[in-house]
Amino acid sequence: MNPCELFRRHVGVFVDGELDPASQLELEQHTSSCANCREHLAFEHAYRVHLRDALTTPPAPASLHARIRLELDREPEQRKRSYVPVARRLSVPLASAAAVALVVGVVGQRSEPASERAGLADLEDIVALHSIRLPADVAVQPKEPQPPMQTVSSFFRGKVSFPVRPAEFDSRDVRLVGARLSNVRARRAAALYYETLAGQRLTVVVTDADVEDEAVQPLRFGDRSLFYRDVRGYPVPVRREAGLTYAFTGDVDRDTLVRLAAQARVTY
Amino acid sequence: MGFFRNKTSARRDAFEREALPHLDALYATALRLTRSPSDAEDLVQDAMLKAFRFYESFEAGTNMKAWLLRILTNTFINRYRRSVRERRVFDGALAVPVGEGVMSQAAMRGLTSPIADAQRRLLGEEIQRAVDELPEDHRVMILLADVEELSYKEIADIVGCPVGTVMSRLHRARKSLQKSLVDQAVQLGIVADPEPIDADEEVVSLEDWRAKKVAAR
Repeated sequence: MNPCELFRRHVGVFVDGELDPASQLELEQHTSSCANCREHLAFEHAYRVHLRDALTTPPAPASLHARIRLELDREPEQRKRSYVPVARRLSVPLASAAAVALVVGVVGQRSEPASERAGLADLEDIVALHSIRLPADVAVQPKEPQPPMQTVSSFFRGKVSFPVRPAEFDSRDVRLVGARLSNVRARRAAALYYETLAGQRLTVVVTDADVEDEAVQPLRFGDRSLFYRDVRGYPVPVRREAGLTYAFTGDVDRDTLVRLAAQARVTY
Repeated sequence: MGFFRNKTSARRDAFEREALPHLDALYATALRLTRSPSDAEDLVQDAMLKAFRFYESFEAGTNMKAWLLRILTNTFINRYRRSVRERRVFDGALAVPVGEGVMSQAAMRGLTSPIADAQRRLLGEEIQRAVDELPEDHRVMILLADVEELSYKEIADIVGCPVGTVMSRLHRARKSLQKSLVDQAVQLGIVADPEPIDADEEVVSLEDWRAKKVAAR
């Protein structure tokens, strides 16, 4: 093994300036003493000149500029509907009346009868809510007219019995696009709609109803405990935080959704 | 545009100011990826629209062009090319190093000196063809690194692979383009000597070499 071989192997990285400073310096010193390697270096530069020369493309056509501007003009109008009246919504409970309550073993110290417990039927309703794309009551346009989180929080104020702070995902590629008043059992719940950069939809339902232990399996992700259930082919990770239940579902694979759910910020 | 500026105009104006100057670069990359002007236009339009919708997820102060290229590349991979996995074989068993030895000194010299216009045009056509024939994951590397001059880290973020993978793909892609360049130069009579020198290549890792140097002290 000799320094010339080393230089030739790394000449591309060297020209890119992506070596660590010590190696960069070492190779630089080598070229100053090796005429052969200087030729390799000159060739590497020449290759790039020839390449850029060859790949010079015409600028984007004016028609493309025009098309994009036209599309951008259309864009805000589609998303501008900010508030839709919700009064008529109240009579549409999502939980089916015939749902079989599987309340068998109430585990642990949770004996207070205050909150109802969400069963499999409720999870199915949540998945249905997601899959049939029930329209949002409130659509959010980022930063317009106020931060989306705030728009959604104030929308739910007075409509559900708990404060709604939409889950915030770790990934910047998932954003809140809207919300809808929903139900879990007889209780009103908040459905939050998200969209990923790749165009997939996610739905998070927040309720103060507890989840039946029979309906879900415990699951760990990192140091986060959550629950999980497959419902009609959709993954449904569930988190219990600060007395609220967050059920996640969406058009992404199980692993991705579990990771997103585990890392989502739901408490403040 | 219309006479009425709505409430989103500030956001829209900012987007146009930041993103539209990169339209030529996006179009050039799209053209090389799709190899068709009409597909390239559709791809750029889709990517721009997506970028506008997700404008809030762009981190101010980071590279706008890299961000736009990431969206463009991902859109291309998702929509225009379904069989991503089939093409990844180049990272596997076939990932043998391309010999540095293909470069003869005469060839290198010929290509580093000025070349007549007519020959340069022919050479350019050959390079374009060679780029188009690269496997797509290698072509992306060449476009992002050698044409758009993005950093390895930016490319790794765009493609979603480790920096080391960027380095090895880029190395292989460059070697194969350089070989085409030399072959064509020989055919055009720009360079005379097709004899390769030092044809054996030993893959040398920088770490090994440095470790040996230290040990030898």
